[in-house]
Amino acid sequence: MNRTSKRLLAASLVLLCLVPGCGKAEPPETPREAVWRAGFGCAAIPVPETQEPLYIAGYHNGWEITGIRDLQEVRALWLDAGGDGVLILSVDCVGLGSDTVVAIRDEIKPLLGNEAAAVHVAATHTHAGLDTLGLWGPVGMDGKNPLFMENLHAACVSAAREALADRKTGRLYRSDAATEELQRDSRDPQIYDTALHLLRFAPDDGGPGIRLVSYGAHAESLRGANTRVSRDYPGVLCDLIAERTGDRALFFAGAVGGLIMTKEFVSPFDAEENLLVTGEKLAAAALSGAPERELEPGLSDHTVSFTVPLDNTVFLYYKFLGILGNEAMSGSGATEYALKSRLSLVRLGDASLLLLPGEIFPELITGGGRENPSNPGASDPEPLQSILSRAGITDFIPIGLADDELGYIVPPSDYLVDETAPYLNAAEPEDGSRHYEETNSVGIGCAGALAGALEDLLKSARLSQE
Amino acid sequence: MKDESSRSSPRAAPYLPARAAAFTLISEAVFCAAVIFLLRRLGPLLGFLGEKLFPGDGTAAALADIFGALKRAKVVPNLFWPLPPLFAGWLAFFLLFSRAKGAKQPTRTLLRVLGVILLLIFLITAFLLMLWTAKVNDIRFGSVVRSLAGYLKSGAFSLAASAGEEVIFL
Repeated sequence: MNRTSKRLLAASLVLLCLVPGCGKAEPPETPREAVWRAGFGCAAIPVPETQEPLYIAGYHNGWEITGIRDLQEVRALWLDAGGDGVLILSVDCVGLGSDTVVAIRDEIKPLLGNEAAAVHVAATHTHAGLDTLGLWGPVGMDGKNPLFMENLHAACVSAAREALADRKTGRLYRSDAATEELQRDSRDPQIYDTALHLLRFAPDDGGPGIRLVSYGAHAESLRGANTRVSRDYPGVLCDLIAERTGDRALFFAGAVGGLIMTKEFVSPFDAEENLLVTGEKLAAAALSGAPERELEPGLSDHTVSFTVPLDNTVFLYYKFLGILGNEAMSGSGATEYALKSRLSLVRLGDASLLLLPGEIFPELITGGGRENPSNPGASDPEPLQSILSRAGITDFIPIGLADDELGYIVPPSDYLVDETAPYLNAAEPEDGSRHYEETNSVGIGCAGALAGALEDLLKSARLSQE
Repeated sequence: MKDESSRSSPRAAPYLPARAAAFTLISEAVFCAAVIFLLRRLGPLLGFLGEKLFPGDGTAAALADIFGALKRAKVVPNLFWPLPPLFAGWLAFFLLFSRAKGAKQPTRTLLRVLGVILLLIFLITAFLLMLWTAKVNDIRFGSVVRSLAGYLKSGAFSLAASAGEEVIFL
């Protein structure tokens, strides 16, 4: 060996020692067997004792809570199939902006250590919770209570920690349960998803299982006069599932745009009774024994960032005042700005969770629209179901208000804003059609941006598979 | 006197752009601080102006409360656009003052007054430009002013107020 070779060998050894992990005595890690592993965690979000106002979110500006029916909670689900995992948090609240989600994700990351895992945070969209978006303070003022938001963050971390500690191996099942005559759609076309989408994890040790439930209806069975804090029907539904099966459950809002909610089942109306009846009917459907199929172990998480043109000037003002925390940049919206958001697809065997950052109109998923749309000059994007189907994905569970809240995602062909006071007043065309949802949407380009993002996500996912 | 002036002018001339550049940077730093200060105190300022314009009807208090949130805002002034007018202003100022040294009265006074006026015009332009393009929580101040002006012009705010639009059903 000449001098040059010796130097090269020495340099190689030095470099090898600098490579992370080199030189450790541990044997190379072998991939775990492909088997489902899941864990569940739950933490209540305490209402702080404070002199500062605590605004209730969902209906009226500046309404403060007058009592507590049941505390808002965070429920966490860990899932993996021997490889990378996913942690999904369901938060009982009206919605969470992407800035809050990013902060929660950063707080949870240390718990994960070296484990590769995606973290998603979705809102159940209860209209009986404290304001977490800031839109329900007195007009123009932030309605979020900082102490409550601190408690919410802490509950997310606590639920995540519990879910990680609870992980067990088992089997995962998928089913859809039909619900009849439970929903109402306040805007034509009368298209909504009547199915309760379910995932059930049964641990090998025979202990309590975990159920994920998604339903396309606003959680507002207590209706607008309510001022007591509550998880609304998702809370009653999860509690009844636990009571009757021993399984822990977590709820996610599906495609609720347009505006889809559960009906009033009590006459004369009584909020408490209506809530209990709604929860009971949904629990009966969830536990009706809908045929299940077992999912083969296999999990992958795909996320794509995208921008949505911002047309809504009211959202612009709220962003300017620091009430909305979404990342904004120059863009093609009517305000000359765009908001950054994200869309995710979690593949679970041959089923998927589609995590959407807002309140999507169901017709944007399934297709179909009004016969005489208000804005026929604009065309709707290809339905998400069709885009997914082209990629071979036919079974998916929509999870709305996930990782962000962009407001309503309205079909462009039916998008109409008031000419004089756009986004301040709802348009009232002569045909009598309702256009309230536009005042709480980012803009007409949101649906198209979302469909484009899904196309991008599927392309990149296919590339990564190759 | 004439000989002294004619000797000093050619020596000073090469330093004018450097001096103007130095003063440009100093004024940019001062403006930057002033813009941040002003925007973060927009609430009290609008409250004060509102009280003068609409005394006693609650508008002032509402404006102060709404824009009071900006005291914790992330304010990022634009450093690029104010540079050309600032540099032009200081260069014109030093150039005219340098020429004034060699000029007779009343030309000397005229040049100095012209220099000050030009400087003020350019300084005000630069300040307004910096204010207009400053980003508050990622949104340009000018975008919000323009949008609000559009609503005020169309009477949209009074329409919305009369319609009692205070309900947000998300």
